[in-house]
Amino acid sequence: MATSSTHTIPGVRSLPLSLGLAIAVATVLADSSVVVLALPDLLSSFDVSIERIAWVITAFNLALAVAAVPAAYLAVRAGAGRVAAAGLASFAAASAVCAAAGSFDVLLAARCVQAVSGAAVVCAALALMQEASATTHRGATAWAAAAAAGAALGPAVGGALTQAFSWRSVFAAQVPLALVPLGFLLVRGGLDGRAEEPPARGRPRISPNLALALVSAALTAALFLLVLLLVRAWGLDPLEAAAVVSAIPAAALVTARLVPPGSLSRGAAAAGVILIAGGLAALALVPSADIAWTLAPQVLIGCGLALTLPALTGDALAGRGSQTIHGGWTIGARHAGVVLGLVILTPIFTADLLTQQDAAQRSGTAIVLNSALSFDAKLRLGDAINHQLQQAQNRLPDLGLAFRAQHPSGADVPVYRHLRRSLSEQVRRAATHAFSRAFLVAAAIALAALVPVAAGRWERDA
Amino acid sequence: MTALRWPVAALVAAVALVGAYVALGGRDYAPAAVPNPCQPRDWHKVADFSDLENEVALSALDGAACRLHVPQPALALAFTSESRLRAFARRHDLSTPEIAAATRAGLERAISDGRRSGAINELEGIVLSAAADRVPVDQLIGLVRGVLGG
Repeated sequence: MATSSTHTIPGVRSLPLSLGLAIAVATVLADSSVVVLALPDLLSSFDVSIERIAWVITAFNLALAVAAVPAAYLAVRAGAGRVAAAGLASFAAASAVCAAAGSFDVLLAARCVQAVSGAAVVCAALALMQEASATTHRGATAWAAAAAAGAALGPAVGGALTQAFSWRSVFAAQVPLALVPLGFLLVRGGLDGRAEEPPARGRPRISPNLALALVSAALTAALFLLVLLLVRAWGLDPLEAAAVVSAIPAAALVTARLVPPGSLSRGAAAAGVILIAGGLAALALVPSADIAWTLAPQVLIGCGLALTLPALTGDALAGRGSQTIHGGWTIGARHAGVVLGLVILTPIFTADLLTQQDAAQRSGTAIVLNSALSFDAKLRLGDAINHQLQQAQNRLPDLGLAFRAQHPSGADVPVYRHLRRSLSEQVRRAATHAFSRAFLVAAAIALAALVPVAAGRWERDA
Repeated sequence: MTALRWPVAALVAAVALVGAYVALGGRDYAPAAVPNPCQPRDWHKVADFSDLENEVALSALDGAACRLHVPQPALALAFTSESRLRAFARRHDLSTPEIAAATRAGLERAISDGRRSGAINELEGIVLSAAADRVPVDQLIGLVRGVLGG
């Protein structure tokens, strides 16, 4: 572990400030996935395509990836306290603009400002949290834990807020979470701190950062696709989906409590990668469309996340030179990974969704054609189902409406009931299967992270 | 060896979960496969004209789908509207004469299935076959589309 050259900022040794900064770090990193469950609401609010609405997530992660390293250098040269304060103020303002955005372009622009300010907050917070802790290592561990917790909690918190209020509340809630630590920083004189000495020359550690990028790309499937599977394919409302996906942070939390941070080395990182890959592969192979089948894979992913992210982050921060700058590289790598995940997985998922819609329509047509109904009744039912499919527009069709439009005589009632069950099952099968290949590809991406984990020189093992 | 303890334990957990999901049918949780249209179709008991219409239409669809090497439901859906039929022809690179020829082959197959099941007698079969051969292409497609609700 390299020694930090950060000078003490007067008054920064404050538990509330440290806690506030940890929450701010978690908030910024949760922002990468916090609006996943709000996407349908956003789609209703703005007259834009599905492909364009996804830029609310992509733009944030891209801007954060690009801004992280320059923000880290700025924190080193201008002083972590000043950069954190400016970042927090700007992040709060951008969040308020997001919450009040009247047009999609304004929302997108504010998201980019949020990301750039967030990069400043996260990178400066690393230096400040190390100052606030007894040892730099402990500060870095707390920072990495806050970052991991934020990433894991994002979809659940965003889903709960969207369901309880609206998508605007997701952004409104972030304003106080940025203003409170800013207040602590101002009151405690955090702005008076000096800049660090010019950092010793040290290149970013390639292996852990590459592994972090690949793991983050794979986790995109767990944090984004799983939520979409629950809401769009299985018809859960955002609050229910939020409750289901909280299995990941819960498992991560328990694992983090059980495994001492000191034991998180190369072996733990490799184990975490394998668990994440296994969980994602299991999500690709759920035996039926039931939330119970997602729980064990989520537990594996949560455990893997708790082992891998802190271990890799710790190793990435252990290079020569300023830890703040290494922190910038780490954040940049993680969010570049999220963008990579979105770029690779989104086309696979959307293509498979169309293929599976086709497959469901074919198997449903075969079931209706070969049913015991009269030919006239089959045609009437087929027309009604077709109408519902056209109305659905990327949502699950409400087959119940098609069946309610029929008025079967006594003998046909059980036939219709059986048909309705069979067709609903085909739709659920198709909607679930549409996610399988994307989850499998994500599992392969996770496994690819084993290469840099195994090949890289591990600072803590040395 | 101690360094491998973590990854080995993780591998065991991951393989156990994935293996369990595969064993419980996770690989097969997809829409049901549609029947092969080239397999002979056994007709249900034909009690009235509606039953006959039903069985003829299904056998004809099977026969045409078999000739075109497409699934039967895809062809049935294509026949439900003119725009769908055009899109279907584009997607499978089929010309109108090819679809018409397949539709004739489908009707022949339906007549043959009907004869085999005893629902259509010899004389009815000869008349229907002759009619199927002589109906103009656009009327033949229109007839099938009409039967399928287009």
